[in-house]
Amino acid sequence: MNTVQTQSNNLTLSKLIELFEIDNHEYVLPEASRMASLQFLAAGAFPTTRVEKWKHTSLKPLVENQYSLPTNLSKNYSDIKSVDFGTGLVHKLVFINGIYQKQLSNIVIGEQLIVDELSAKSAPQNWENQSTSDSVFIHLNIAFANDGIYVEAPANAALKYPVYIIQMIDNEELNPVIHLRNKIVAKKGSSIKIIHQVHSTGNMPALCNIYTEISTEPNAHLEYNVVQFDLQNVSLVSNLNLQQSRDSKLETNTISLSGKLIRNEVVANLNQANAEVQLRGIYMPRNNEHTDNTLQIKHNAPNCQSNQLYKGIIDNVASSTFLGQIYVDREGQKTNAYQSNKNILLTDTCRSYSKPQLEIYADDVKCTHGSTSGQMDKDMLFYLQTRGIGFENARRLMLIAFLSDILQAITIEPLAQWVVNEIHNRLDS
Amino acid sequence: MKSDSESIINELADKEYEAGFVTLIETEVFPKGLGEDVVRALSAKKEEPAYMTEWRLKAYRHWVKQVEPKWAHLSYTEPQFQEISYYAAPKNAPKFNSLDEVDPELIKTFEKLGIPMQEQKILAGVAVDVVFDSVSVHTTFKDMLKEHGIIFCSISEAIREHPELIQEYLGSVVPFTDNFYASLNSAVFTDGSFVYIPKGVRCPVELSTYFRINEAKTGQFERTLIIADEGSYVSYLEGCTAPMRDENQLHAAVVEIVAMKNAEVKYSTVQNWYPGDKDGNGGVYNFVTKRGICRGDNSKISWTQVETGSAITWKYPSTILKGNNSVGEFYSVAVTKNYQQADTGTKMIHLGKNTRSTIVSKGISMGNSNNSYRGLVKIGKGATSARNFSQCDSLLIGSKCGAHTFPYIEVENQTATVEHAPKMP
Repeated sequence: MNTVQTQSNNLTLSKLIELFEIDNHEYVLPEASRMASLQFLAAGAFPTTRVEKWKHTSLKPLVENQYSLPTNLSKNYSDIKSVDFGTGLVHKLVFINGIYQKQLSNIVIGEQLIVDELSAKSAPQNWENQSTSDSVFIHLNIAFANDGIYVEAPANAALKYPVYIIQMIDNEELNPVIHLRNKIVAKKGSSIKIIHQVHSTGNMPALCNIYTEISTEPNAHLEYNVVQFDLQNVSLVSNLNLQQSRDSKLETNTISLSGKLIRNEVVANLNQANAEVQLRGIYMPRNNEHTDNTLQIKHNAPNCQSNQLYKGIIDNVASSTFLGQIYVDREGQKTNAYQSNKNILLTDTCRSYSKPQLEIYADDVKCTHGSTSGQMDKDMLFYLQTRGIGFENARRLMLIAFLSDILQAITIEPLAQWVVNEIHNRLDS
Repeated sequence: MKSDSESIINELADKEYEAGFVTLIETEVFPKGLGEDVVRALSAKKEEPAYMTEWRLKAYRHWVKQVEPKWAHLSYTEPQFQEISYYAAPKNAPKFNSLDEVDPELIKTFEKLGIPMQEQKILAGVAVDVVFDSVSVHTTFKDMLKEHGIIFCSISEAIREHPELIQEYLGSVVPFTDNFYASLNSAVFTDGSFVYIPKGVRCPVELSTYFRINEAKTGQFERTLIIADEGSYVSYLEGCTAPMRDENQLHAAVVEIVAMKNAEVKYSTVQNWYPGDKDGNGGVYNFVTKRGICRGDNSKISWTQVETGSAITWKYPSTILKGNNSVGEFYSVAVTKNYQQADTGTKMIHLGKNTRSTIVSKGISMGNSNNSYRGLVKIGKGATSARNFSQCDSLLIGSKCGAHTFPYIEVENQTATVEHAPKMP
């Protein structure tokens, strides 16, 4: 079914591959893996909406543009939009167009934290084997990722300061294509908090393809916050692969404020007993944006717990997709799995697609999923107005309240504050 | 208590198929294979008018261009469509005037199955149309229904006697281009039931059709068309069985329902096709397209299904809610055991204003079986204030079976309220 878009000026996969072949890049992954992926790509194509996993997410905004390789810009990037930590400390790792910027980055001295730039020489090679993946984007990333970061919380280290990864796309004058790869490891008994920010500064079309692998060893605790904003003309595809060992806890908060086309794909593997994963997300597409959250939670071991909570506010002619799958293996007895997707539609022209899916092969499990879509409760709005709160304020109050359980789950205070402010600004405009 | 419920579960899990006998009756069977000539021969055999032959051929030509769908959560070997005979009928069957003319073997068969064919025995009232292999053998209560202006007959008869209704409605809900199996059915359907309830008539009895596959290496392709005119009401029950055979028999039916303004149709199915033996050998492949349309305002279509049979079930009784204030309901219980696989559910397509739909689905899987609910709730742009409530629960008994849900929720109108709230105990 993978048919290539045929319009002559459209980007095809082969054009994108050619772009890199002429370039003398140094790549992150070993040649053998790269060659296998290149082979896959040679026969592949961008998925169309006839492919089940892409049924409601059209890649048209991505393929109708041309891209070029990012070049080093000799600009002064001192003023990057980011969360204000005030006097608080934070480990800052800055990437511009997929290239690590050492001079803009900063590691707080005295913290037990291992940070290393990913490159063919230094990178740890124990990546989860993705050679069997059917994703064009994962293979593109394997073949062409040329930078990224390795972050490790050593055994039993409780990190005090969050790690703030800023990935800025400069598309003011050019239309970059970026393949970036990150790996985050929480060793035995450690705890670490991460912020991963993706935003752009210009209006040229850009394609950003990120692959992130996170693993938590026994008893580790990791919080991973993603903020995606100002991506008005960017197609962002993010693949997140989670690997959890026994008694570890992983939490992700994915806040997608704006992006022409955002696809956040998560595969969470609960590989050993008693692991817990909490996946939360807020998406607020407007104008003609589209946000897609595709999740697969694999309960491969007994006594694990998973919870998905995704909420969307959809405006103008925007659309959203939520594809959440809970998969319980035969080994996954005593699984507790929850899933909830709620959407508020603000206009007559926006659309929301939801598919909360269960696949269960063990007989002693508890799995619930729910999905609701609709508009704001008019009675509640009316009640607030009778209490003297104006319509606009009442509306904003209700929308913030709708998102509050996710906002409260962000434990990094300055980030939570920043997200709330951004949402307020959005609702005012 | 515990031993009680355990024994019930064990009894259910171990129970063998009771309707698996073969009736020794003389049958006329077409040679295996499918081509335009077979479609023409079949149409000729059924003494169909030219428009019907043409329609079938168009469907066949469309079918040839398609590939067998693979998206369901099912694993089976694709049927060998050229190895199937597309027509089988009791030999001394075609036209009966009264029950006395029916082959006594046939009557025995239906008595074994507990189907009331003897009119005197069923004064309490169910009108039955019986389809044996591919041909409708008897319709009871015809005269009484005639008095009310109700047409209840085999679809072959309707094609001959009521061409105006057939031409207007056949394929109007499930066009022959709809999907692989609907195209196949449109090309080769052999019989089925036809119901027309005139304006303002409340059908006084339950209508019922009983389908049975008897002959080996045949497929059954029946077609049902129900038209409920303005302000009418009808309740319809369908049942099915087949003998136990080691091969996989194919059943690909199409059911179409049209409900006009203020009309109500209740459609109930008890699907008990042969599910295969304990080791997963044999059993019926049940690939069925069922769809109704609430064409007029305030109309209602309600589907109730009990799915216990078939080796493979691929079935999604759906409702298009076109008329304003129309209502769609779907109630389903699916039980799978041994190596059965079911992928079943519904589609509720809301197009009209204030349309409402309810979906309640219960799945029970045992043994090595897999039971999936697949459903679509679509709220179209114009479906202002539409409401849907869905609930699907699954129960797994044993550690080798699987239970799955694939709900699709597509909302394109902000005033809609859609709730999906299933749970697994």
